[in-house]
Amino acid sequence: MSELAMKTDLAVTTDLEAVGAAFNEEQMLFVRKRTRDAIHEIASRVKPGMVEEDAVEMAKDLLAGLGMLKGWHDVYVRFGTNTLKTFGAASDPGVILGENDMFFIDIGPVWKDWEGDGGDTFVVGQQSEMQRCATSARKLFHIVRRKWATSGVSGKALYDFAIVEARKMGWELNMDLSGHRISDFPHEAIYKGPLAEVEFKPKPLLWVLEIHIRDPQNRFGAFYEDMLLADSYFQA
Amino acid sequence: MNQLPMHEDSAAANRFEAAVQRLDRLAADVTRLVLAPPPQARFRYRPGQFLSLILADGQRRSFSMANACGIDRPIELHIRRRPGGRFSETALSRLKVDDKLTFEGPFGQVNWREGRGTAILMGTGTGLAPLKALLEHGLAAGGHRPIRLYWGGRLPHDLYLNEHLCQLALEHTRFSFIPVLSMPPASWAGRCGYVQDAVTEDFADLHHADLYACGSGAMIDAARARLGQLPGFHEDRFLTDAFEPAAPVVRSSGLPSVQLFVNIHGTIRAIRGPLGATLLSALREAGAPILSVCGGKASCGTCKITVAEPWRDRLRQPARTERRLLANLDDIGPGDRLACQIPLTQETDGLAISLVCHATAKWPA
Repeated sequence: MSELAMKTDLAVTTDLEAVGAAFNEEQMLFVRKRTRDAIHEIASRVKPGMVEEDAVEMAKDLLAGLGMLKGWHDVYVRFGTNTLKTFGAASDPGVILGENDMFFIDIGPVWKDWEGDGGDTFVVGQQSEMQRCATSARKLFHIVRRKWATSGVSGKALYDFAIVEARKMGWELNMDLSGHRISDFPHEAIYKGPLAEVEFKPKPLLWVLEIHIRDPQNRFGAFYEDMLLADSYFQA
Repeated sequence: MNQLPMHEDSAAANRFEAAVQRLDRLAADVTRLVLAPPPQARFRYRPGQFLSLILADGQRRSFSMANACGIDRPIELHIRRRPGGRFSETALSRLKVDDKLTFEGPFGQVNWREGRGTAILMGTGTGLAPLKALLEHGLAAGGHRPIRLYWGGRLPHDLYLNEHLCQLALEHTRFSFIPVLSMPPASWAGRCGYVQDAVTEDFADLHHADLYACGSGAMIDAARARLGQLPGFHEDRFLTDAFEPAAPVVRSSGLPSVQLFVNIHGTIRAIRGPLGATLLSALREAGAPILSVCGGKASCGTCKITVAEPWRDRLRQPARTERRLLANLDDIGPGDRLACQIPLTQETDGLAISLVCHATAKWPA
């Protein structure tokens, strides 16, 4: 057998969509709701004039109060130009949220045995381009999610589609944040790679779709992240 | 394998005396020491395990068996000469055939795992020894399971059993031998770089594969970091045997280090960690089975350890970030800390801790 023939492509769904012993659909959805609620609770406490580091501390205190501080990744609240930073990158220190500015939140709390993961972008004051960027991130998330819901395309094809759609809106998609598994903790024991590399149609409830778009002039970016789920889970 | 022994195991392990049967110079700095089967009792061991030679002054030096165990089979050890090494340089140079050596063992948790997927063995230098024992066992076990051995060195002469392994590969179609050089001469036609790079080039997916990594702690860390990125990588199927010089005062990085005593379910191993590193990175470099899902950000709690009672007041107390997370974790007991938040300083020399995160956690052999 040639060495290349030994390489397994990512078309095999069986293992990449495995779950751990504690996996429970209802609990996953419950943690999702708690995660979305926490994001909005954090956002409501972010005010112009805050330093980003203080906002991160506030977010961690709030999550600790909810029993959701334990996370599979760190807590991110990014202000202004730090919204351009990719996952895991250190923020520039001391950035203060302006009167007309934007910020995003990205949290991955683990509640009991189950992982949550979510992100959203918020704009303060009046800044139409930032507002358009934040709105685009949410819109693009749902455009890509509907593509997933209504077709049989793979994770890879979804992100190829997302790149094109982002450009149509005037933004660049950051492919370093391109979706991943979610499960009972820790999902990385099953698959820690990106959704954008899997060559099968991902199943609902097992993946999160991440959309991080950036201004082509590198002034700011917006982020939106939630589980891959059908429309009914997104109705208000 | 050349590391401090597992003291707790020692009490339970058997002690043997065996005669030197052969001494072969395999390379300028590698000797094959062959011990006759101990006459008093059969020395049974699993492939991948090691023994501890007891030196005249009571010190111990540990080496992996380089051949599979068998009735009346001699015991083969590969010993790299280390400048100033009490055994590898001083005692070994005086050793003669028929001399008697005392040893204890076997020790270690590495063992051949049955399975259908490819067994990927990777190692550098005398890290070949346990891999060779695993290979011999795997081939003798029969079946069709592919076995691939990646053996790395800097230069061709570092691969001191190259011809033997090439011959084995010719004799067994399911065995592939891949020598890898990090400083290859122009004439080298084989693979270049590091063993973990070669494995990554050959495998896009590690589902069903069992990985065995033997060599320096740095090599094992690099392999874990690299292969951990591949789909299908699972820590439970990544069996490691990190060897370090028995009594380093300065690590290869040139940084001064401190000694740490690490207890995993009653098995205590002494390791060293460089000053300025975190306890987490020292544990990982030593091959300790400790997770760090968040990458050392005090977020996930998977690197929780318990500080031994006498050390609890001597360590710098946790900062707010660590205290807050600890308060949010389940099953927190006295002395529990996050290894990612404990810097190694002169004051931590001799620190004693226990790993408590996982019931199945154990030391690699």
